Amino acid sequence: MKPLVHFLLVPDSSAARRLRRIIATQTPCMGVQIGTWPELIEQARSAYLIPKRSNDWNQVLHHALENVPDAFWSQSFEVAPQETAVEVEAALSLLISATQPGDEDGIAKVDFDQLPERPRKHVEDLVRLLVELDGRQPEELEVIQQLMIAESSSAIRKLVVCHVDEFPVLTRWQAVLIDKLNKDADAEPDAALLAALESLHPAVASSAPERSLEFIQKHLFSSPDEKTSLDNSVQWLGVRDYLQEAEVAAGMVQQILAENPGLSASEIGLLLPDTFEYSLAVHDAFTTAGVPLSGLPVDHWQRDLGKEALFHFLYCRQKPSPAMALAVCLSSPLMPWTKEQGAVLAQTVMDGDYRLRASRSATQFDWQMLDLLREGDETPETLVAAIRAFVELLDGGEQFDAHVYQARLIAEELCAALEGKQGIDWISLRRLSSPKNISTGELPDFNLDGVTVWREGHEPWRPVRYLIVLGFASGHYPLASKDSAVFVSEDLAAIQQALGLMIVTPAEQMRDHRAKFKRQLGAVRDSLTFMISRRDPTGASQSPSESLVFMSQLYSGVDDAELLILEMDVGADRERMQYLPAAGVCYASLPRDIVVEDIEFDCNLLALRKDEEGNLRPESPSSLETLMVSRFAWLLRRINAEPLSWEPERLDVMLQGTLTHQVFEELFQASNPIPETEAINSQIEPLLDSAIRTHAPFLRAAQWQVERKHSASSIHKAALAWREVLTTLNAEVLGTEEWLAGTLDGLPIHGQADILLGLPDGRLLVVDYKKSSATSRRPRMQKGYDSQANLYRTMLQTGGPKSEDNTALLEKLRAGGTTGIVYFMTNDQTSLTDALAVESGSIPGWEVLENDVSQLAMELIRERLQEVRAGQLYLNREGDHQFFDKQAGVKPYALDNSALIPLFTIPGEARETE
Amino acid sequence: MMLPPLTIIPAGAGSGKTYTIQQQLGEWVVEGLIAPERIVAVTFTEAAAAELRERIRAKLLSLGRLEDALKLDQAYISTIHGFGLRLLTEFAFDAGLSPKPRLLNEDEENTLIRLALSRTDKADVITSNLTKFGYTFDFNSKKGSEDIFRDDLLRIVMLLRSAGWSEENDTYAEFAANWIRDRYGITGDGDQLTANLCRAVTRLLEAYPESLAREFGNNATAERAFRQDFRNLKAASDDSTLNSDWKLWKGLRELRQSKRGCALPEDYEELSGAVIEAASALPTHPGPLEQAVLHISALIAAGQDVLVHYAEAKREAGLVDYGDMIAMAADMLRSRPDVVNTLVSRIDCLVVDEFQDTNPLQFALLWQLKDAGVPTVTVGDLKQAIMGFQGADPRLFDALIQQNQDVANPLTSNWRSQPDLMHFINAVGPGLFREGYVPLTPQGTGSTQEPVELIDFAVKARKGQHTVRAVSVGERLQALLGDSTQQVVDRRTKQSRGLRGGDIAVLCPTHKMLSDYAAVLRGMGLRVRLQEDGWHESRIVQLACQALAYVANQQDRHAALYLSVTELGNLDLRTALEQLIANGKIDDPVLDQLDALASHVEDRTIFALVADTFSALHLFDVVSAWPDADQARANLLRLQAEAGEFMDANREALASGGYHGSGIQSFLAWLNAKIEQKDKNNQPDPRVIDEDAIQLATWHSSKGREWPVVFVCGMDRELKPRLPNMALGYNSFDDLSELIEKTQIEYSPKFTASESDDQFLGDLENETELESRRLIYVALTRAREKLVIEWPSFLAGKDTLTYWSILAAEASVSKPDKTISIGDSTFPCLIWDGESELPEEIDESQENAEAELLTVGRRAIKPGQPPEQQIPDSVTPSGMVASTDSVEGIEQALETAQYSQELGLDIGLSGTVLGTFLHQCFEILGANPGHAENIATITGVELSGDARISIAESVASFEQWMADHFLATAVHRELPLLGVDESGSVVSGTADLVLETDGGVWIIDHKSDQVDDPEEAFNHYRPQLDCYSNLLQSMGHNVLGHGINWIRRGVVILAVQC
Ligand code: SF4
Repeated sequence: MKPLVHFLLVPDSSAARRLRRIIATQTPCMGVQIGTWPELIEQARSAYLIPKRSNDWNQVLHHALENVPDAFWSQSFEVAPQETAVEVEAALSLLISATQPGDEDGIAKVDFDQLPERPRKHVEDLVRLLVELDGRQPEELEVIQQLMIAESSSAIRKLVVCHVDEFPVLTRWQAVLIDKLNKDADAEPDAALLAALESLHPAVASSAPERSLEFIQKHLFSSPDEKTSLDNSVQWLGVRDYLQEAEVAAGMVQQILAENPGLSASEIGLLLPDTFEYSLAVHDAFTTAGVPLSGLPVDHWQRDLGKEALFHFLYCRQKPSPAMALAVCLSSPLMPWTKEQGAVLAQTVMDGDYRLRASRSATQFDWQMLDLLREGDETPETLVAAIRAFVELLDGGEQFDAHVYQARLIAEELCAALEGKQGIDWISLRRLSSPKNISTGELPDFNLDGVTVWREGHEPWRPVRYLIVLGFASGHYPLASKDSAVFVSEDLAAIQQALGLMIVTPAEQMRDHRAKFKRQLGAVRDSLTFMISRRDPTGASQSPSESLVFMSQLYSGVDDAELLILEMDVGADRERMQYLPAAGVCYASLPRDIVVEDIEFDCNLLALRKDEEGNLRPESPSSLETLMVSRFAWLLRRINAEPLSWEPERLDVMLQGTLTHQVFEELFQASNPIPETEAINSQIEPLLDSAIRTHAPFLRAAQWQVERKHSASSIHKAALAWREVLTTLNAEVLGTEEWLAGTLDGLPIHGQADILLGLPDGRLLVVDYKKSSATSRRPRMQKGYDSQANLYRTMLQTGGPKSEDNTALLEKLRAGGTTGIVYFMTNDQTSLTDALAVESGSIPGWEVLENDVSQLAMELIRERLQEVRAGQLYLNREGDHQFFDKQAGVKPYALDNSALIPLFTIPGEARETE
Repeated sequence: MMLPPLTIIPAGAGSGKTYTIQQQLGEWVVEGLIAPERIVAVTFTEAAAAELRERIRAKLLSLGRLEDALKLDQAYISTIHGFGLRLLTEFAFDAGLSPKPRLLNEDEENTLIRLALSRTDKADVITSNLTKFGYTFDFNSKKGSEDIFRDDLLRIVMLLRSAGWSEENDTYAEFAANWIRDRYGITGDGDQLTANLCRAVTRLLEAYPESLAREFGNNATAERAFRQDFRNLKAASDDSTLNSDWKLWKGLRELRQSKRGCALPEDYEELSGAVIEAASALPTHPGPLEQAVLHISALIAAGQDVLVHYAEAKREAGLVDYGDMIAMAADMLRSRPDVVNTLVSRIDCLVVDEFQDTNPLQFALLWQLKDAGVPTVTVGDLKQAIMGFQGADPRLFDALIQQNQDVANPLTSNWRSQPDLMHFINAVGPGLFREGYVPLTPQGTGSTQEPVELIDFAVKARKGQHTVRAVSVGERLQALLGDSTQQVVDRRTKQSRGLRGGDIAVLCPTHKMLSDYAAVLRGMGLRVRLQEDGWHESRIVQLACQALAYVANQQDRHAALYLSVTELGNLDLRTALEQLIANGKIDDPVLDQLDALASHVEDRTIFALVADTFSALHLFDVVSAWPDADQARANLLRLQAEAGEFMDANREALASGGYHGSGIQSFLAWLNAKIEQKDKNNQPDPRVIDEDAIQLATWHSSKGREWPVVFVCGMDRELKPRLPNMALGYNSFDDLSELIEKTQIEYSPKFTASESDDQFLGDLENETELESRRLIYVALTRAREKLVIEWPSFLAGKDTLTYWSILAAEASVSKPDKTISIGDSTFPCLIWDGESELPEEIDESQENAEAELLTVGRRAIKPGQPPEQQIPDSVTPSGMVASTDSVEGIEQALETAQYSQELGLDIGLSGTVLGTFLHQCFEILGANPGHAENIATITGVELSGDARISIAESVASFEQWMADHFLATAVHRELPLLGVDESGSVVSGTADLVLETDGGVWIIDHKSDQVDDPEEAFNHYRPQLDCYSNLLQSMGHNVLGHGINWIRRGVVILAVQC
């Protein structure tokens, strides 16, 4: 005789859990299995020895969808194949499983004329699809079909299926399969087992309800003849947000336990929406309270590191590649180098250096990987090779084997997609490798003594006495039904009517969800609390669950559903809440006081940066300007403690300046004649392009076209004006981007001067190009707070060019003519200078300042150098901003260098004004 | 009976429109005229939609229509965008779209538009010379000229879209050009005018080839002026420049001439005078006009191009944006009559709330349904149309009313304001709207509050306008709140009770003014609430972000330094810096907490990492005691939500904005940019209700809300339109179904010569004034019991347009009588004297560091430690393995039986896959050796003939051995077992083999492991076997013993039950 297994079919794993306990405690038994529909299918499959099919269904379906001409999905399929396939498959399953199994052709013979036009077209197209599929069907249906034709004699086991009507709701195919199994088994379901199953899905309790709790359990979503009055067995609490729900719930659980000695925490339940947020908040609040939980789902998402690496690798290979994509690749844990090295490489790129230089300890693999990331592709062939090489080099250690494996799989798909193609369709490749998070499976801890956690989408898994329902907000309890793009409610109703098919409509889905919610509430004995968040986590307001109105209708004297809700923020309401923990007093305490005072170190802060021989590294003019504005900012830079952050590339003023400099450097070269206007006209574009290639490859992308044009035209304008200055002055270019070095009070200083000019009278001019207007530089010069160009002059005076090659320059220097400074402001083509080479105005925009433009700045810098030498670190004062801005005419950008600077700013006036 | 095709319900403030809709729909359902699931109701916000749904449902339930109330689930009650989106998804296939369209984020939109822009050359005239067209760096917004140009283009694109533009044509450009020409005024002969000026300039330069700066620049201003003049003159001597640079004209119009104390040579005076005169012809020069026309034409042409490319890009990527939800839905309806028919057959009626706030495209979408025969009810109030800044166009509703006076059915009651206050508003109304005002009959309950008060500012403050007025408002607030006799009616309980801070609103026109008021009121010890920005800069968010930066990269010295010296750290700045200088790293417990986390960040999602970081530092606990605990907590929660949003966002979408990767650094970069967007740096409301805090809100945001006492502030704000301006216009409202075709773009340029602006400004001023009247109405109608109005009477006699000038034009105030008269009516009115100067000391330090915190939520949790170990709810025996040490010392005699040789297999399987396969073989072949042939098909494992044979033999030997050894009366394979163990856990599992014999049962488990010592390995699995044994025993079986079949070795180990 064949063994017999009783299969108790339940809607979900929670119901299974509950039923198992009921049966296990009543009568331990063998030969009984409790499970959901997929488990039943699995059990039947193994009993009837149905072999597994290869899983090519997706391809088969896509192929068929493509091959049915002029179907309703055709256009959509072109733009969104995956989404369309899912939607059409669902409709197809819905339709087939409503027919008699084995008679799928039957549907093709039906006369659809009675259907309205749109659903008719849709049904007809689905029938065409069915024909095209040529016997293949969605997976589950295929198995059912095989089971239906399997001989009972071939089974190695018999299955008796116990099922309670609408628990779960079955499709026609499912129902027929159950009949067949039971017929094959030729045995009756066990009465005791059936009774146990039925107890999960109780008909409405017959005893007359007494309290509000029973009233809601019995009458929710129905219309009782009479209303009842509201007592304290049910309450609705309005709180701010989901976290507060969890926090209040944790406090209430503590309170309930305190009020009821002997009560087990497991007799208290929480009902949660199935979202990360709620799991997280409940976990957090109950951990704080030290109350154990049972059945809380845990976060189970993981980044798909393999796909992510490939996805960004594709961005790297499509030139120009975005810096952040490079940085992401470089810092991926799957790279051959260490995490620390990855971080450094990534930050280097984000700081604007795209050269991808290997560290000294780099291995051969490292080199190869860096090359792969640096290069780009024009043809599919090279890209295929690059992808293969890339995934070969991936190595995340044992921990990430699975990710590397995943990357290799996708890599193969990508290569397959590239095969035989003429060009590279980057967008579709990216879509193929677009990373989504991967689920590792949640494994909630179900235990005996923890607070019982139920989930909105699940049946209750053990009954409780007290229940707190969280997330009682719009769209929940019941969950909304899903819309279909193929059939809307009316269509389904029409199909049902016309074709006599049994189809679940959205309205029935809703009824089902409501029934589940009622079963959840029905598994509670003593008290119910609903938590209503008034705000979502971003602070936007939220409405309560649609069920609230139905609840309010059950109770007399409640003419507005909102009146049911007791607000946590309202004193009078708080007094009416059940189980709210008794309020103690809680005084606000300030977080730790941050001491902000000037600091004296025991060391010379200038001595912090030395080269290998122990010599001080020279300071640059910009570093000294930082020092002038903020010693703290200067120190942070000196000890490498400036903020590290990532930012997408954009054309900011700095970069504009760099590009302008680069173009000017090429245009106006030492020992070359000043270029003619025509030369300038024709050279700007190519020069700018080459500057962009070096400094900002991203600008070559199409979306930066306006920026490129605008840059070119403004550089052009500036170059023409500068040419006029040079020719009018009759100046000779002695050096461009010349490295100068010298000393300031013994401190080595150095820097690159933009251009050095010699005038016919032997005077020298040190010129600095600035990508701004005179208004931003003139004030500080007038006020004597300008240091930069003067520091270059100081270098010339105390040292000279670093290189000995520039003989022309050295000669001039030796001749000892005086040196003037010039700022050429490219935005308004003004030259600000302290050299009276020509009168102001004799060249358009030439402006001579006749005061000492740097005296006060140099004084300040010298003073600060003294301080830091002595180890003194004066913090900024609140008044500094105003002082620099107004009195010194210097925009104190250095104050924004770090968020620490405003925090460590001392109240009061700038020290300079005292 | 049939529903009327159109019903218009003009509904003044507080006239109970939701109530009316709910009643009406309820009645129609009861009369069987409509089915609830076939209602389409469009509201302005999600909250309004939810409320409307709830109210209709309640109504139906109260009528005993349960089934109908349930069916309401299927009704379309949503915002207009929700409605559009639902149409697009339901009819995705009809429209050829993705059935799961994804909403485009702002970065993507921006990038796609940029891309689209790069593909058009229609704007080249502008982009090749942005400066000429007025695009220069803006210091306020810190935007470059390219961005500002792009904003303009975007604006055109938006206008074109909300005008429902779909095909390429020139009419927009043509119209826009004509519209400008009509207003620019008469022009002269441009070349002539330019030549004149050029001549005058040349003459001057001939006489004075050098700047006057050196000679006459006797002060800095003069010097600068001369230098500038000279530069301009030089530039102007080139007449091609002169023919396009209108700023230069303006400069020449303003040449410096003789001033007192600085007389210039007479001929210079004369020659420069000639230049000035020639340049003053600028307003009649056709050049600027042509430039403006060129500008707008290029913008429109480029905009149309961009739209085409943009739409294509979106369609290809399965994306839609907010505009599409309406535009594409409307488009679909226009082009697919079958869809319209399907839709119409599904809808019984269409209700549109806040109709005055629709834009032309929304109007067109809704109107198509109406035109197709869906009975339509529109509800709204023209007087409250203040959403123009969002593209709403009240002229549409106005036209609708004008053309359908017969079906307009205005509501005439007011349920909000107390009768005395309502009378006052009824008197003000006609002044604001003339015959457009319908008086409302007060239905509200009476009040003990004086309905109207003024705070009179008779003298203008010399400085600190806002602050001075805020002080007076604060004093009045203090007086009201300090007076225990002040009573108001509680909205929920309908009972009279003492006035509280939460009953009062202070309304200002701008956010800036609000924050000034907030500072002063807080300084005066008043509790206020105000939506403020600064979320990202708030202490806790800064700390959390720095912590994240550190978790991402422990080499980040700045983050380490920050954390160690601030609230969560333990070091002072000096120590931390010294450590960094000396060791290159910092030693602080706060960093240790994070180090523990940082070691396993790699594949954690950003959402999880943020949560991990919060919990590693106990941030929610930390902030729960801070003085601004609620705000800090709300801010943190938003950070968590942002992480969720970032995690869920589509990677390609983020990449298109330049944000690659899904790790911490990418998240922080994304966040940094996000908060720069408009309103994205607002701090979320810390609480839902604050009973004691005075609400501060803008006039705009007060719409739809109400308070017992309302202060209306900022009446002195000057109302001035700005140029340039772009807006939609219509050439006619006659046929509303054709509205889309009648839409035009009206561009008011900003010219260099202010005279040219006048006509454009004049038109805009009228608009501005109209909108201002409506704003005043909205602000005044927020009060239930008392209205306190700032009365800047110092403005009397000035002819600037202000809110006050509009209101005061109809009113006269008598201080001695304490009355305000409007038209013929006179109302009693308390009049307070406002300050005119800053009080000596406003002690802003006494900010009430409210020490006591509400003990709710987290603060009410008693901290505890969760127990370490929990008894599991259920166990499965197959997972049970003994630990190595527990195995030692077991002394039980084991029986070993070799039933076959070792099973050598080379089938390329391993681990659990192999295990499952072998189990299946033993089960299937054990039950029926006849399946040996097709075992490969059944299990789906490819097998060589040899392998198949050796497995079959192995199973056969085992079966033989079993038969010989046990004399079983029954054999159960894969037997489900269910019971409870001694600690109460449910045990459920499947035993591989249970043998019943006369004396009792045996249990045997198949194992596929490769083991060296089967007996020792047996002990590992003992718990599992014991578990099965106990279970069978609990069912009343006599368990004789159990064993393991080591399949690979062909050995069975048995242990006899003792
Ligand atoms: S404007 Fe659109 S998106 Fe915004 S609330 Fe209204 S309907 Fe929703």
